[in-house]
Formats: sequence, structure tokens, C-alpha cells
Amino acid sequence: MARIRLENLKKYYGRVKAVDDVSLDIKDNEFIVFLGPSGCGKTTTLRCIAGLEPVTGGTIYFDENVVNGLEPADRNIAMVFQFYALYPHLNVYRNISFPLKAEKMPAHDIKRKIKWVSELLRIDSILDRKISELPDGDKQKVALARAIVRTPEVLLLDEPLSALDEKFREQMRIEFLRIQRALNVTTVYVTHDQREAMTLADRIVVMKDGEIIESGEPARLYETPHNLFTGYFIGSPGMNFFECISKKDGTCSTKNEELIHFSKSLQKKLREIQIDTFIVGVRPEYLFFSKNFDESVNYFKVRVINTERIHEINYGNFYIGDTLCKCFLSGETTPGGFEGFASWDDEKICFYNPESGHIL
Amino acid sequence: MLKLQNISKSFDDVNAVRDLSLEINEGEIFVLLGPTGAGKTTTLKITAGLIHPDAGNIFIDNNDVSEVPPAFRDISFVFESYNLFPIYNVYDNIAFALRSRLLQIGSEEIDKRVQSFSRDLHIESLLDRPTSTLSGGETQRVALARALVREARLNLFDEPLSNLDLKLREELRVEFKELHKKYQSTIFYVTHDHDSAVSIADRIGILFEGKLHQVGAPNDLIENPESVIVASLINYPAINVLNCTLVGKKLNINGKTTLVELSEAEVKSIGKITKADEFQIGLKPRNIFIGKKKNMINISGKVLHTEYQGYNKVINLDFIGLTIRLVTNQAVRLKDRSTIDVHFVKEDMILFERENGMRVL
Repeated sequence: MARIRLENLKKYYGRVKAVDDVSLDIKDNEFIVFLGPSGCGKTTTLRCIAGLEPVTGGTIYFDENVVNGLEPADRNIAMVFQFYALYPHLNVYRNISFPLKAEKMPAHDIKRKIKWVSELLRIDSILDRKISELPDGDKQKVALARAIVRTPEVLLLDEPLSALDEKFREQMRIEFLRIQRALNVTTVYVTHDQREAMTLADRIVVMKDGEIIESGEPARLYETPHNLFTGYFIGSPGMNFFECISKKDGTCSTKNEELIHFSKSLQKKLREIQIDTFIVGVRPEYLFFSKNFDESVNYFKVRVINTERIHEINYGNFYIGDTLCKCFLSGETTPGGFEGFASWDDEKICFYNPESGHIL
Repeated sequence: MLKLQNISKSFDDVNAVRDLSLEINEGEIFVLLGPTGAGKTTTLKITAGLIHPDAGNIFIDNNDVSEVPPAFRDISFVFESYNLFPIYNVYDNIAFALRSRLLQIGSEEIDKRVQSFSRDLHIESLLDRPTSTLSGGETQRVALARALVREARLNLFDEPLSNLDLKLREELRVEFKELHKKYQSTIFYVTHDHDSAVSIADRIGILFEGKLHQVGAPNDLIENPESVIVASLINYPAINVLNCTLVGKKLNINGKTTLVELSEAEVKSIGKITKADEFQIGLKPRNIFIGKKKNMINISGKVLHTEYQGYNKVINLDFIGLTIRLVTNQAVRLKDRSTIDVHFVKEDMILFERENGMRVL
């Protein structure tokens, strides 16, 4: 059990700011996922927490204790990597018992511990199998078992599923959750896979260029991202964004002078915001295509160039200016090249400041 | 246009490709979909002439090209690792194949083609750049341009998008389709990425352990899989597969619980195909709905866990010891370990024979 607090954490490699002034409070037992594209600093942050990288600046606390100076072995953490780093010629039992033997734990205690952890991970039937004989999914379970058998206070996971086939990945996502809930251990998990992040996290920390963009519950980040990057990165397909200009006569249009009709209540909201040029963000799933439109709602004209089926939902692709957008198609669809209207509900839209990228 | 006839290839003890036959039509995007190690790349390399098959023939436009060397097959190839020439700039990389003496294309025509494809792939501003300075997405566009600019009879693509991150993949998929609409080239594309396959293919072939299992339009495979392997590979989230036993008209799960009662006609039609009584029920997560409903098949289960995926939620249910997954976009909040009722329509259920995995209903 541990709370982790990062205070102005910095890690520079020469002039490259891998982690730049990151501050974060991680609650006891929380499942935190660092999400971002490669090179965003998520793994470096994790390695700083683990003590594998000396920090350039800032403070790391476990509960009330500063751990900056502590060796990884003295931090009571466990780590699992993308590549399992198991001993391939040893069997499962000996792989898991390895860290316990290193601690000189008495033999009967080791036995008890391994019984516990192998039942928890449902690998008790393969304890005498050699690592090299196991499928990839099982290898990762063994790596996890070896990590948690010492009952660490903090569990750190660096892309543990990205080397697995899709099939194993789906299974293992659920396993990770089940085990984390059963263990009550503070967990920090690093991934570039937004689907994994959404499924696993109590809270997602979105990172880019060494900084935290925002953090929040998966549902909040999906529905109301506070930053353009979050909306783009979370969700597959990502959020649609396009620039909108509000004119003196109260109407709105795109950069290319195509009319965007907002409902009365959104018009009122826009007047309150008092900004001439802004960015509209709306999820493809909330942007409905139809042949006709209703004056009272929000809509604009679209020309669908082609259609795409993603996870059993049919989307229409269209351009606003040179920005590619997607809308939700219901019912039977033709291959593409048709016109109509895209509409949405008032509460499903977000407005952003084009300069800062922040929500208005 | 392309015809592969009874192709087989083994490496040592492994049968990489087993008696594979398929035809690709002029101007279509044909995607071979299968997991790692299915034999996809081997099939592509055999088509290109980079690997010689142990058995079988390759026809292009009805000419047997089995013994024709790669350079004379009029085929372009994009590899997973793009293989651009790092010493050349973007322009020279794209123009490289066109400058081959075999083709005898004038430099004006080469320039015209390079410019035109660069525009279509949005890389016209990069033409002077050395390829080592490009981002992943840019590199991939250059590799695509270099292959397509040849306007070869057949274009082979080996996982061209799988090294890109999800967001770039989504964008390039759409552009790829638009580009194809314009040039109507014939494309043979292999991937393990289900999303890309379903999104870009005119037709998909499912390859598993070297064997071609089914060929059809994406929707066709999704709606009418012929085997449990096809059903498992073409559906995302994965289809539920439940073992069951046919006792009279009843499909029993775990030996005792009757899930579904079949009609006389259904039992009869199964009987025509097989005498077996061990089956597997295939049921898509999207075809299971929350709540009780009259005249439907109702079951209740314990919520194990809800996977939040944005628009969709995947709910994992424990139903008499089996895990059933369902997808919903309803705004429901289900507590773990609570019991809920769900229902489905009998017609949405697919039945496979357990032993050979083939569809019987």
C-alpha cells in the first residue's frame, strides 16, 4: 500500500527533455495508466519512479518519504516489462521462486507464497513446465507472478501486452484487472494503446512531449476531453476537429465558407464564450448522417467520399476543408460518393481554443 | 487477373502454405488476413517470385509465370520494413524503379508520374528531403508512392501500415482507398490487423496455418462465416464460442443446462450434414442485449467486469461457469458481481461442429 507523489519531476538527456516538470498524485491502490505516443516520456517517468533512472530534478515521494536517493531494490516495487526477462531453461516454479530465494526466504514460506500466487494467476497447473515450452500469454502471466510474489507496495508495468497477439492481449487485459483488484496494490501501467488504457485505468494520464496533457477517468476523457490532443488520441476512430468562424450576423461557417448551423442553445453558449475563431470537437459516433435535416438542431452539409466499417459500426469519411472527418451511418450504406447532412446533440460537442488547444 | 493454383510450400517440418488456390480480380483490393505465422508473407513472396513453391502454379493474365524471374513479372512490392534507399532523397527513391533500363521511360514522363503520385500522397513538399529525416508516416507514404508510381500490373503489400501508430493507420487507410479509386490498381495486401482488412478490402481471404479457409466480401464473412476459425478471426470483439451437446432438439451446455431448443427442421438440416452431437455455439457480443424479452432466449449471468471502450462497453458475464461477452452502447452502470438478465435471438446464433469447426446451422 502506497501513495506516490511526483513533484516537478524532470529528466533530461542532454538537451532532450524526456520528462519536463511532471507533477502527479497517485492514490493508494489506484490503477494509473500513462498513455501517449512513443517518445512522450511515459516510460522514462515510470523508470524514474522505479529508481532505474536518476532524476534531473524534482522529488518522488512514496507516502511521506522521499525516495529519490533509494536504489530500486529498496523501494518495495515490482516491475514487468514488454519482454518477460524470464529464465527460459528453468521451469515456472523456479522462475517465480527466484526473487524469494534471493531474499533468503525459508523454503516452506516460498512454497506457501508460490501456491498463493499461482492460484491467483491460474498457473498452478503449469508450475513444472519450462518457460520455453509456454505460449506467450502464459509467459507474461509467469512474469507477473514473479513480480507480485514478493507482495510489493507498488506494481510498475511497462507495455506488458504489446508483444502479444491480439487474442492473448484481450485475455490478459482482463487478467491484469482481476489481479490488481484482488491484490490492492498501487499500479502504474505504461502503454501507447488507448484501448488498453480505457479498459484498465481508474485514471489515465495523457502525456505528450514530456509533459502531462491532462488526466482523468476514461469516460471523462472520452466524452469531454479538455485538450485537442486527448480527443485525437483517445477513441478509435478519434474525435473530429474542425475550425469554425462565427460571423457578425450570428451565423457560423467553416474556413471554406460552408455554413454550420448551431441550435439556439449552442448559439447562446457561443455568444457567452465571445471568441471569433474556435475549434469544434465531436466524436464520429455522435455525428449522425442523414439525407435531410431539421432546422432546430445542429447540422452541416457533408459529402461522404467513402465508407468504412470499424468494429461493426459503419462510418462515412468526409472532408471539411482539408481535414478528414468521420460520421456515423445507420442502416444500409452504399460505397460512398453521396451527400447529406451531419447533425449532433447539443451536449455531445466541445469547443476549443485554437491557440492553446484547451477546451472553452 | 492473378491466379494461384494449388500452391504448397514447406520450410523444414513446417507447412507454411498448404494447397492454396485463389483468384484476384482486375482492379480489386484483395486482403489476406491471418495471425502471425499463418503463411501470409510466404504466399506474397511466392506470388512475387521471391520464393519458389514446392508445388503449384502462378498465373498472371492467364500466363503461367511460375518460372518467370521476379523482375519480369511486372509486380511491385511494399515490405513491412519499407526498404527505402537512405542515400537518396525522396524524389530519387520514388523515381528509382522507373529509371530501370528495362522500362525505357523518358525522364519527362518519369517526372510527370513522380509529381502526380507525390501530390496524391501529400508528399510533394518532401521531394528534396533525404529519407532519413522523414517521420514514420512520411516514410510509409514514400514507400507507397514508390510502389504505385510504377503502375505495375499487380501491387503486393506486406503489412504496409502495421509499423505505424493507430492514428496514422486510420488516416492512411482512408487515403489508400481514395488513391485506389483513382488509379484502380490491382492490390494484393496481407495483414494480421483485422481493422485494416475490414476497412479497405473488396474481398478478404482468411488464412490460418497455411490454409485458406474462406474468401468473401468483409460483410459476407462477418455475417456468414463457414467455420469457427473464420468467425473468430473476422469479428471484433471476439465472437463467443460455447461448447454444447445436442440432445434430441435441445442444445445443452455443461452437460445439463438447456440453452436453446431447436426446431424439427433445424435438427433435420443438421442431421443432413453430420451425425455428431458435439457442437459449438457462436454468438456475437453485439447480438446479446441487456434485459429480459418475451419470445427470445433469456439467460442471466454475473457481471465479471465491464471494459469501457468509449462509445462501447464490453461486459464480461459469468454464465454457469462460462464467460460470455456482450457489447453495448447503452449508458448502463453495472456493478461487478451483480446479476443481470440478457437476451438474444435464436437466429443470431451460429452452430459449428466441434470436431472440424465447420458450420452446420
